[in-house]
Amino acid sequence: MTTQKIVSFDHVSKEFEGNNKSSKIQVLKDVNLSINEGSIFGIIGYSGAGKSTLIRCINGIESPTKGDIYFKKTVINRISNVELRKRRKEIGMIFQQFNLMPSRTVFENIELPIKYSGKSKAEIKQKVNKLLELVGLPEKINTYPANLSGGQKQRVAIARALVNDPQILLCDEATSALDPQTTADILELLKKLNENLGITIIVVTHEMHVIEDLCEYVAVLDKGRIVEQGEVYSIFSNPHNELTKNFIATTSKLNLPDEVLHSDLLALSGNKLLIKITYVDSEAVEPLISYVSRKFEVDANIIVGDIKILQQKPLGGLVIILDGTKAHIKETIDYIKGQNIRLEVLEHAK
Amino acid sequence: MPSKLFPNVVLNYSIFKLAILQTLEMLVITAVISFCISIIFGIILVVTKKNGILMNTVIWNVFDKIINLFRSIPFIILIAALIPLTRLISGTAIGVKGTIFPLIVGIVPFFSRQIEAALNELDGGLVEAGQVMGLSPFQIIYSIYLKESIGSIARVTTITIISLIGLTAIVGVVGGGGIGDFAIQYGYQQNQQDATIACILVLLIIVSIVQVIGTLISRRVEH
Repeated sequence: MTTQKIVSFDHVSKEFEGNNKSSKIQVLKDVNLSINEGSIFGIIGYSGAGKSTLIRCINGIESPTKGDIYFKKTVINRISNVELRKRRKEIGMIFQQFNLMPSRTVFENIELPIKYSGKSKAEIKQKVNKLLELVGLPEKINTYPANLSGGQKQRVAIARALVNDPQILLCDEATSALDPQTTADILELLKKLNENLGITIIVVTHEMHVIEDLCEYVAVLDKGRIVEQGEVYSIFSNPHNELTKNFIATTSKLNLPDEVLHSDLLALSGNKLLIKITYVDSEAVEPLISYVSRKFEVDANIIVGDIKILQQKPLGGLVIILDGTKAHIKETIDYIKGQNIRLEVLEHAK
Repeated sequence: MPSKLFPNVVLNYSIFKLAILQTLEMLVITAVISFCISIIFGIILVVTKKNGILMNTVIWNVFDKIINLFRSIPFIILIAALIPLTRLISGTAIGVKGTIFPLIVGIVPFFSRQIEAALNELDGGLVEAGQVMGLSPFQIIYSIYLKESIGSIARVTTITIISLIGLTAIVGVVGGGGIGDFAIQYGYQQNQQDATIACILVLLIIVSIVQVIGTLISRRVEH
C-alpha cells in the first residue's frame, strides 16, 4: 500500500448564511485532514456535525469559505466548472437514499455517467455487465429501481459510481437506511472493492460500528471541528475526546447500564469491588485473571467480556468482581495498573 | 333523434362543425407552441433559482416577476390590451389567426408555473447524483430534470390544456370563432338552449380525451 496522499484539507472552514443575513452558521471550522491513497477513511459525527458538507467539499458540490481542498495536485475549490466535471468523474459517490433514477432500468442507471462520453454501445454494455457482476446483481439488469430492495439499490448505486473507474469512492451515510444484515453485506462489498480495485474509500457515518468494521483511519467531527483523528485501532483503544468515547461506547458491551450498576443484581458485599479493565495493546487478558487470582488470592468473577479483533489486533476488556481481603484487592489493583491495562473502579460494595 | 334533441344545432350543423374544428385548431396550435415556451421558462426558473444548478438571481427575478405580472391580468382584459400587438404579429386580431397570440400570452405564465412546480417536485438527490457523475448542466436538464419528470409534466400539461380549453371559449367572445363563439351566438344571444348544451357536451368530450391521454402517458412512464 502506498502512503501517497490522495485528498487533503488545508484549514478548511465553511459558513452558511443564516435565516437573517447577519447571522452566519459555521459548518466547518479549520478542518485539516489528509487521506492516504488506497485507504478506507471514516468520518464520524452526529447529524448536523458537518459530515455531509465535509464529504461534498471533496467533489466540489460544496465549496469552502476558507482554506483549500486538494485532490492529488488539484485544488478542487479553485478550478473551472469544466475542469471540476472532469475531476468528478474520478470521484464516485453513493448516498443514503441511493438516488437512482426511477424512470431508468438498472442498466440505464449504471450507464448514465458514461452515456455522453462518446464510448461505443458495445463498450458501455460490456462495462455495465462487468460492474453488475462485481456487485453481484447480474440478473437485475433490466429491473426498475422500484422493484429492488434497499441493499440491491445500493449495489446498483455502487456500480453506477464505479462506471468511470474512479480513484475515490465517497459514501455519504451509505448504509444508514439499511438493516443490519444488509449493512454488513454492503460493508463487505466496499472492503472487497478497496482490496481488489485499490480504490480509496471515504465514508461519513453516525454509526461507530461502520467505522469499526470497515475503516483503517477515522476522524471524529463535532460541530464542524475535527476533535480527534488517527488509526482506528489506536482511537478505539485509547480515545481522548469525550465524544469519541461516547461513540466507542455504542459498540462496546462493557458499559453496564446504571440500573444494573446500582442494583442488587451484582450482589456486592464485603470487600467486593466491581472493576472494568480494558486492554490498550494486544496483550491477552485471560492469563492476567488467573495470574492475579493465584498470586494475590483474590476471586475474580467475570461479569461481562467483550473482545473483538480490530485490524488483526484484539481490543476490548472485561468487567469483573474482585473478592478477597482489602489488602489483597489493593495489591491486585496496583499490579494491574502497573501493566499496560486501563482499570476503572465501577462500584464498591454497599 | 338528434334533430329532436338539438334542432338548432342540426339546423346550423356546418357552422357547429366549423366551430369544433376552430376550437381544436386553436387548442392544438396554442398547446404545442406554449408547451415549448413554457418548458423553456420552467427550466429557466428551476435552474436559476437559489441553489439551482445554474443559480442566477437576476434572471430568476426577471422571469418570476414577468410571469406574476401576466398572471395577474384577467384573460379578457389581456386580449383587449394585446390587440395592437396581435395585429402586428398575426396581421389580424380576429378569427382563429388572431386568437393564437393572446392565447399563448394568456396560458404561458400559468403553464410555466405548472412546469416549474413539476420540475421542483423532482427529488433533489437525483440532481445531485447527476452533478457528482460529472454531467454538464445541459445533460442534467435533459437526462434528469426532463426525463425523470415526464410523468409530472404530462400531468401538469393535462391540467393546463383543460384550462386552455376554457380560454379558447373566452376568445370566441372577441370574434375568435370556435365553440365559445357558437355558444354565445346561438345559445345565449338567440336563446337556443340546445346549442349551449351541445357545446357543453363537445367540450366535455374534448376534456375527457385530454385527461385520458395525460393519465395514460404519466402512468406509462412511471415505474
